[in-house]
Amino acid sequence: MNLTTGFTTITFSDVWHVMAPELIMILAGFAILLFDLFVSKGTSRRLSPWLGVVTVIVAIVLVIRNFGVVAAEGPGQLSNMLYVLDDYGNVFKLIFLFGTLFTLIMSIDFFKKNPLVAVPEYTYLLLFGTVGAMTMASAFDLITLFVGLEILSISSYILVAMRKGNSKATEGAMKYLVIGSIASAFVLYGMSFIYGITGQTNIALGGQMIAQMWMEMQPVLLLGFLLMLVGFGVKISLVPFHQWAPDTYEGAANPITSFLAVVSKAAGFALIIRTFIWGFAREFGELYIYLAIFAALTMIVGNVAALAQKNIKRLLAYSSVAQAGYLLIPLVTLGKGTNEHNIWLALGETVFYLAGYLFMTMGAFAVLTAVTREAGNETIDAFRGLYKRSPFQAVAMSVFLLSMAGMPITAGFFGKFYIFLGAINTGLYWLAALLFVTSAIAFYYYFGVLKAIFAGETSEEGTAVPKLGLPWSLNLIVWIGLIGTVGLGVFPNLFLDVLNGLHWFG
Amino acid sequence: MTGNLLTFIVLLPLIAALIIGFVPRSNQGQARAVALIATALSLLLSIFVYAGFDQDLAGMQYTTHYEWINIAHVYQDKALTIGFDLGIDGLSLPFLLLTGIITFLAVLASKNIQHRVKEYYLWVMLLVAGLYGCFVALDLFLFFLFLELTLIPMYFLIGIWGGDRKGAVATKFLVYRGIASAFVLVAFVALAFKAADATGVISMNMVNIADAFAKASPDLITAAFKQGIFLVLLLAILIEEAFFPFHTWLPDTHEQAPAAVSMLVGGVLMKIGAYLLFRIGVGILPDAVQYFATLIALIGVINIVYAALIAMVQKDWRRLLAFSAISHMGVVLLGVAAMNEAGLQGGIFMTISSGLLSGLLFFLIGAIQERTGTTMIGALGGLSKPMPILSGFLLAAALGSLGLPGMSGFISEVLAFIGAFDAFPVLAAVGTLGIILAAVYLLWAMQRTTYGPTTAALEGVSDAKAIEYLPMIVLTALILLIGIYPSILGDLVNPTILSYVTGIGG
Repeated sequence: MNLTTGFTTITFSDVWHVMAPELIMILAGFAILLFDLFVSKGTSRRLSPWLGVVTVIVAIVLVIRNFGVVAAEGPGQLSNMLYVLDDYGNVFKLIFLFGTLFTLIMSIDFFKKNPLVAVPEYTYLLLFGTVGAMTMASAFDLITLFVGLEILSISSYILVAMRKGNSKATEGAMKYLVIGSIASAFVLYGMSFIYGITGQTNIALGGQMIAQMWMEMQPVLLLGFLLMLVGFGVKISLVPFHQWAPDTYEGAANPITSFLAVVSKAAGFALIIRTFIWGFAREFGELYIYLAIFAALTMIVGNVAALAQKNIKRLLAYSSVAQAGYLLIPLVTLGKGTNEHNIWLALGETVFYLAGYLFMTMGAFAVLTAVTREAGNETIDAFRGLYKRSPFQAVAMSVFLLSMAGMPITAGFFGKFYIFLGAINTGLYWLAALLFVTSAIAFYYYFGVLKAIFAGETSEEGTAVPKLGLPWSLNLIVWIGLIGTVGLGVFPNLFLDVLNGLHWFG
Repeated sequence: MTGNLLTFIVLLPLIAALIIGFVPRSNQGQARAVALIATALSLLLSIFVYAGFDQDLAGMQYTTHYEWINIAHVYQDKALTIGFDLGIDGLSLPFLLLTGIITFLAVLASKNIQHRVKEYYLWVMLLVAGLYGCFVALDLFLFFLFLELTLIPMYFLIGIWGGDRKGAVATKFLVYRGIASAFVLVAFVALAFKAADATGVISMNMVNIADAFAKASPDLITAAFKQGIFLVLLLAILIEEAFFPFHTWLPDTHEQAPAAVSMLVGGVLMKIGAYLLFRIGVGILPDAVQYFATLIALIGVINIVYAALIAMVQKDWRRLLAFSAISHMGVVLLGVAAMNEAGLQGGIFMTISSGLLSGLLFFLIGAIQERTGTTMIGALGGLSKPMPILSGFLLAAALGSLGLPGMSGFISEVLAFIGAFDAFPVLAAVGTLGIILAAVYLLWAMQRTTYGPTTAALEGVSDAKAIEYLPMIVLTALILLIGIYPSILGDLVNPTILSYVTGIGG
């Protein structure tokens, strides 16, 4: 990429060129906010989510249109290197937007069942949060990145708390707010060290300075790196900064939990990878070991802690902690070789896994929503006998769980295998082995749910078992999740070839 | 065209599983009929394959190749291709036939399953597909998929239709073998990548890898690398094959699983580890096997003696048979460690023979359990009066198992020990203890079960039914056939073994 230090005047058409999808989302968010003021409460409740859905679809189209589009002067030229338009950002934005879309569709059912929830607020907060995530994927400046991070975080805090009258939601939101804010402070503190030494907030220019000053200023730069890592670690729930996740996941409404698990986590990874590749690429040979330790700890603790969970949402929370460990491995491999192909490979692995993770998580939460509502509790026992009640949902849920466990011909398995290949490629045998050994430990709890689904008897033989009723919206998500999970698992080349054709950084 | 025969063999059980999925739950006979037809057809096709197999050739026959997945830049900028590659040679053909026979008979023997019949056959069909797949897959990735495919059905077959400790044992089975799979995958990918260093093309086809390893100079593929990979593989094999100290899952599984499932486990599933040892260990890493020969022989002898001693104190026939199988598989290790023609041949003979004997013994114990309600040796007694035919076959199987001349166990032990005495006289001498101990525990158990006064509770239990004659006669006939006319198996495996042995010399 061409790095330019000059300052050019930015016109609105430049801004539109670089961030059309974000602008659409912001405008729609404000439109919903105003719309709520002028129409009746009922209309607003009914229409807001649909406005959100339409907006997200428009944004998806705009992002897809942006693939491969790079300004002649380089990806960052039109924004003075504050905000770049490249395929790296685009592909992450697609994941966020699809995540948000599925969240909104699942929310439609949630709104129906919970008349107390403020629908318009919920919808625009979701849109704003997604804009924050998109900013995290595209910003090229520490300040802009931080702003994106905060937009997402603050929206998420409120969204978690929106399940009114639920003490667990309040507890979860409070924990999330406090820990999240401390994390933000860590990030900012770390950034201030980097800025203090390099005099740059731009991550590429800063990275060049870091490379020059690494020898003499190593302790301070390392401190900055570690502080940022801790802050980011909280956001993507790395062990030992993961404690908020189970409580928050348990407290939040199901659609919001899936939003946190998918969009928020993916955004955290987009931010970390962008910042570290541009800022610390040359020093990664020394720094990767910290990430490797976090990855190992996260895989082990996430999976082991999940063993004891009885609540399905807490179980999935720990499972999502473990997934963060797997997802960190591609970044770790960069420490063993930063030639271009290694970088593209690592990015491909991350995005592939995230895509699979999107489908399996969303699908699992759709089934979970219906099942736990029917049962009136969120324990694993709620799934008892699901196979008899609703064979299709049971099979779908099994596919999602097997995919999370990493069983073959699912997206989860191929994603893990791909990450595994990358780790072996760079000689990180121990991390590669740990990836699959901890997955085998995870069989224990995933199969615990499967056993409830297939083995459990709901009631005495002979009595009629009520069929599980699923509203169309949840059913749609189950189908999408199922097709995505199996599709990516059986025909990974469909997506791999797309990833290989990307111009990641313009 | 002929290559597709193998594809059909694997696909038939999968198709059957699909059909069973749509069979109405009330019609239990249909599910059983579909399963019987599918396994019978697969067996028939396997016999066709045997009939058309050219026994003089050492290479793969009936090969099929479809390109499936292509992962670009995955190792040193080269693409990894994964193919749907099937094929068979003199080593895998006996395993294929064994699978065909045991799976068909196991389905036949599942008559007494009365509970959730449809699901039972569905899982059995998936398991059968996985078992077949393991022995015909040429691509290591494909092999791994089939290996994992066996895990899920086994979990449910134990977990739903098992005995009083079914839940814990199913999980134990899953986690033990899941962890073994992780090591298998590490070894496979490392092999494929290392072979790529030599050939320039990354392939997971085991024939290509074996070629690359045979031809590559020792500088390129170092002895240390081979030894390291072999140790990883050996660890996996020790778990898969239930060798001490990783053996505890096997007796538990046999004790808890229904008799027909025990037939599948003891007859086929447990032999996958031995197949890996021959195929990958001896076939691709012969130098490493030779390097660790003493270790392998030692583990073999420990297992022969230890498992035999433990078998003596077992109170339950099923646990006794499990330890007896471990003891016999120890002979396989001893034969392989010798790394000469007789030893390797003995190893394969023992594997197949143990598969047939386990199948027969677990069938008979299942039949006895069905009538008497117990498998505890102490609770049985004097069975030869009420059920002379079952007792007769049990005696025949026990004699075959303890190595009576004229039966398959004898020729296997003779060959393996001839090979072993050549290489490790002392260890082999200790190992022969196992033969004596086998005679002790088997005959003692036989005596307590069939002779003596008939317990009052056992008076009037019925003898074998017509449908039960088929498994007993077929398996006994095969055991006798191999014992009396060993060339029928020897001629099949010899070309492959010779190619391995000459590979070691050169």
